[in-house]
Amino acid sequence: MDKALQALQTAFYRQIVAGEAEICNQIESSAAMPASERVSIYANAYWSRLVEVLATDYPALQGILGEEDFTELGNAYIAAYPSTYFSLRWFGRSLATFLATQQPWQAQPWLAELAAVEWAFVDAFNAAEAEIVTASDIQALAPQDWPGLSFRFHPSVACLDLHWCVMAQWQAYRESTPLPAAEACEPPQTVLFWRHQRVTRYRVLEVDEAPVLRQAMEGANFATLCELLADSHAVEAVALRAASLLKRWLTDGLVCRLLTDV
Amino acid sequence: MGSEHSDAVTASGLPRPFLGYGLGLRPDYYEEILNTLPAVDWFEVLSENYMVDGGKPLYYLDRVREHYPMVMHGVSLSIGGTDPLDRDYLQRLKQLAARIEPEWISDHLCWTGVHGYNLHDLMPLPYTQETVRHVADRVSQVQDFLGRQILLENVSSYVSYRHSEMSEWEFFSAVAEAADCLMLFDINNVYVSARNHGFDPEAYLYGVPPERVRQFHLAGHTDYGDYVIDTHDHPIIDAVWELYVKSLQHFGPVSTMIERDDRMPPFNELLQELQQARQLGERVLQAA
Ligand SMILES: [Fe+2]
Repeated sequence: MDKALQALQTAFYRQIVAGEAEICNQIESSAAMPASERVSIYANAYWSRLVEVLATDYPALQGILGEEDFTELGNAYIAAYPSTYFSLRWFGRSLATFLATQQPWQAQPWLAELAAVEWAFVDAFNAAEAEIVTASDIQALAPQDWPGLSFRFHPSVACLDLHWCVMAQWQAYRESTPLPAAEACEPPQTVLFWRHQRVTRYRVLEVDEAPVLRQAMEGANFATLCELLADSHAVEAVALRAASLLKRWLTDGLVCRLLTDV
Repeated sequence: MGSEHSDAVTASGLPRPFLGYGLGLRPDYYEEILNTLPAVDWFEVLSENYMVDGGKPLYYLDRVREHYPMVMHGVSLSIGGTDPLDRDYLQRLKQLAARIEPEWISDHLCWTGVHGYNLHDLMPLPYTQETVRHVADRVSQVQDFLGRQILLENVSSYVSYRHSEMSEWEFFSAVAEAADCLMLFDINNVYVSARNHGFDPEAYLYGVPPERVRQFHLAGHTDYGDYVIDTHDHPIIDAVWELYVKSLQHFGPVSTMIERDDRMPPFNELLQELQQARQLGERVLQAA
């Protein structure tokens, strides 16, 4: 390994991330441009490039904060979570955590939730492909298969619990309409994110659907899901409700395999 | 792939595959390319954009590949870095190559990070014998892993190091010879660096071994007067077209593509710019 080269690269890195001037001693100045100005081209490019990546992943957050505050947030995030992976795809993944734990953003907890929503869309956009199961696949099942039936979900499927009505803000941002004020969601909302036919989608789950879908994603079988529904439905209504939820999941394109336990 | 083009002969008498005139595959144009199948001979794809599990990018990549030859162009190899080569990255690069069977794979003669931190930029190297050895050794490792020669591209730079022992083109040539790799000659980058460092761009052009030059890049940049930045967000300027003509006269037919990465114009404007490259190319090569 080339020690001198590593020292040079370390010094250059320190200049870019922390403004340390040592690298300038190794760099030629010209009449038109001193060394310090030359290295600052790289430093400026670094910070602005990464803020731009965040703006691409978090357009609604940028819209809500405004460009100046978003840049301030971006710079603080870049300093706290420098990129360690070759792909920029993952660079912004910790922004929601950062917002939830750092002042001044921590004091506005809906910002972290909005960031989590936007990252959920990024994940759904990039998730792996899988064939999906249709309603006719399920009609082929024998009656005795139903109680033990469980489901494998499309790799893009994910749920988020939200305590603030950030979907309304996100929607308003998308439609360029005035932003509603951040309001607490009571009870909390569960939002489903997924990708179907190459388009990322979301849907606010109904109150009785959210725990059932979460259990189904963890591998619970149909009989267990029905028991769970019995908490919120009359006995005679359970089967009908379970069937209609399942139908919805299939038409939404959430399910990619039916597993029967025989 | 590219078999409808006649193979050119390099200075050393070896055949050089010639793909013709290409463009970068960018998301803005996915739909239009598939709907109109424009007269572009080949596409260059940014390797990292397709190192994802699924979704739109891979879908369009596969569809476009059904109609066009492709080459892969990466920005993350960090061939001049001092961290160990990123095995995960190389593995993904190899997987992507197996998927789309590119004509060739290229990256840049630069470093992109240190101590595990990534700057996501094409950082310049000092031009020393020691760096030549360091880079050449890493190129050999990459070529062994991929089972093929790679192309290295000259980058635009804004600094030069006091302890450099040779010119950029001597360095570039020495690495290519020592590692036995090929060259992606970015004509705009030669122009940009020549302006920033005050060297003669033609000296660069005549200073690299023609038999190793496999591809050209053309692009626009931003001129700030005292310095020039490689932004890929403008049309190609006349001085770069002139350097392109001289490059063709010197190297003979070399597969040429136009890089455009920002302020994306209507696709038709890029096609017209490519047509300009094609006409210049055909005129120069006929006269030769
Ligand atoms: Fe280039």
